[in-house]
Amino acid sequence: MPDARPASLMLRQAQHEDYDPHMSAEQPLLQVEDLSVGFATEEGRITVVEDVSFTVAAGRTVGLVGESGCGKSVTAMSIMRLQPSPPSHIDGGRILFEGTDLLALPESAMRGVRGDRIGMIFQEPMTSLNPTLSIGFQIGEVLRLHRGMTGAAAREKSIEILRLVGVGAVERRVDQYPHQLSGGLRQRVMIAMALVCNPRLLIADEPTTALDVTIQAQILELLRRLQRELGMAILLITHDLGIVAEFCDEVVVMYAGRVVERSGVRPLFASPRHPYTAGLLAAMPRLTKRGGRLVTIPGMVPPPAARGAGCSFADRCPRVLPRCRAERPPLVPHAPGHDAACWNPPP
Amino acid sequence: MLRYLTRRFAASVLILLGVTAVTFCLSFLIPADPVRMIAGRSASAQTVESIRHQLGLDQPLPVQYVRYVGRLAQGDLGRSYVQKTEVATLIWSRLPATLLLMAGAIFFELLIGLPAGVYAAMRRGRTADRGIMMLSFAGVSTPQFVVGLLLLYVFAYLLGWFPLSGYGTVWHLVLPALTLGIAGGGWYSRMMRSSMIEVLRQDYIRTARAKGLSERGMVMVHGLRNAILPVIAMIGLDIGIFMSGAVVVESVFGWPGIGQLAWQAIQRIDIPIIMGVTLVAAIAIVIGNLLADLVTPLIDPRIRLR
Ligand SMILES: Nc1ncnc2c1ncn2[C@@H]1O[C@H](COP(=O)(O)OP(=O)(O)O)[C@@H](O)[C@H]1O
Ligand code: SF4
Ligand SMILES: [Mg+2]
Repeated sequence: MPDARPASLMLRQAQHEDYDPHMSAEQPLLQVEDLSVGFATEEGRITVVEDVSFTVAAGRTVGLVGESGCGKSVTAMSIMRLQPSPPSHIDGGRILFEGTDLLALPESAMRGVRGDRIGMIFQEPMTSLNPTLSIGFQIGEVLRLHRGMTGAAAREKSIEILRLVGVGAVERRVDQYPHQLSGGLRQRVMIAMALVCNPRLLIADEPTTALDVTIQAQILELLRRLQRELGMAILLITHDLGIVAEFCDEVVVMYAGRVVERSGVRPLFASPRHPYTAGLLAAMPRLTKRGGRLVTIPGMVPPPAARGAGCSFADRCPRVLPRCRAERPPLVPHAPGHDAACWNPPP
Repeated sequence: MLRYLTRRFAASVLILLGVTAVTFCLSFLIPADPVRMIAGRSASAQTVESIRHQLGLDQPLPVQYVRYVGRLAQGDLGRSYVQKTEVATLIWSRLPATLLLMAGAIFFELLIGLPAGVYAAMRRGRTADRGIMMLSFAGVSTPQFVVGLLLLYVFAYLLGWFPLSGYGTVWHLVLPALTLGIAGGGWYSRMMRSSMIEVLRQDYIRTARAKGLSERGMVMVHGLRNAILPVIAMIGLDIGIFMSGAVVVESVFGWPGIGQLAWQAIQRIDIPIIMGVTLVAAIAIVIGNLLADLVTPLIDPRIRLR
């Protein structure tokens, strides 16, 4: 694969001795391997992400789905190494990005990855921008940091990227402050900021959850267009399977801190191999109409401290067997490229 | 902007009128007769009455108050009972020393408090944080005369770097200002720390990290701007507080500020001076507040002057 990155960038990275982007053709862009993350709480250590593995190929879109609290954000933040530690600690695993284990990088090299090779946007567009700094400054800051651009050049490029993400009246907007922008516009600014250095991977943590439905559609359409134009891969975190169906190539379903199912979008929707996924799918039509949360499966996710030896879904599962409570089902292939962790998968 | 200032000015005048009413009433609650103090113990009842009449103190209170405010409007703060001098002249002569000490004190407060608070917030819960918080507690709770005398002993007496007392050069200013700065710096570091900790929890700080900013860059660019806002309000308050003088420090260092003037006046129940100093301090509080309110929107564009 020809490397389309600007020469200046490669030069910069060559300066980081620990950073070695020796990507081979078949190697995925991002490879999360057996990631486990815990927290030190007042009640002791809890594990909230356990043995999570998945890959994101260059230029593809992978959906990370699951009910709120199942560990999606912690996983995403761990990839960026943005989890504050303490209280969080990574208990094991590797996160290979362009062949480099991010978890082994020194912090200074990791800073070179953030905002440059991996961009990230968040659920809360209203609060994710600094209220005291202008839009232009906040975008320009990324360029000053990673590209050494200054003054007019950074401003020029900021205006260009704002245009690209569909912000109108850019010349005026660039000097405005976040409070002067609507939620949808702020999320566009966040996207501009995340993409201004042309990262290979964009992590979008529920980017549309806080927006109303028409704006949601616009932002997703924008992400789709930008992906086509810029060619980055997207790790899209959502609890909305409607968005996954429309937007993603592959899906990783998480439940209670673990991956319970992993496959291409079509096979997953055609024949889910995990009762949890099946439950989510059954709840879907009602969901897309209201745009609400995934609450239609009866019962609650067990809190981290209450997760026993068996399958965490057992208490809510219609297909539960005695074995399920005794032994944890491993994540194994049920069909080519379709993995699930279940002793008694739906037919 | 002009409308804002006009409104603020009108509001300030009302506040100050309130202050004059309070000081005026307070002066009558003091269980000492100023006329007796002026006339002396041996004066005859007749003399006392004639002085009382002379001072207008035999008039009904509302009349006295209206006259008092009328004189204030002309810049007349009355005459000292004891020193037989215009109160305005007395305060005016103390003003440069007081303003200088105020500037020096605020300078040291910020110089000590801001970096200490920011650093403590960045190292929250660790040894450095605990150490800084202990020092700041010591700074806040040690009596000023202890700090002042200690500084005097070490830096003026033993080392001879600074003069022992007096007023005139920048060297005279350092130790008294530092004494005030140590106590104030303790407050500022605590305020800065909690404000910064609050800011570091915000979503936009997470965004700044996700951009690849270093911890330092993030705190300097994104943290400080937001965390400094409550500190600015506190500086505004400090302007008022220091205007009424720093009694202890002024007497330790022989600093000819308003504090000494006020202290002597209180001891001698020299009511016009007490009222004058109170009024000047109130004006300073109003001005300090206004300054803080004018600076804040320059940092936080969400806050508009309305
Ligand atoms: N700072 C923290 N301390 C303790 N537990 C945490 C902390 N942050 C997240 N968790 C726990 O981690 C789990 C996963 O959270 P998260 O990744 O935010 O879920 P989501 O899938 O909704 O993004 C939750 O059970 C949450 O309670
Ligand atoms: S392992 Fe058992 S309890 Fe768990 S999802 Fe499968 S059938 Fe249900
Ligand atoms: Mg989340």
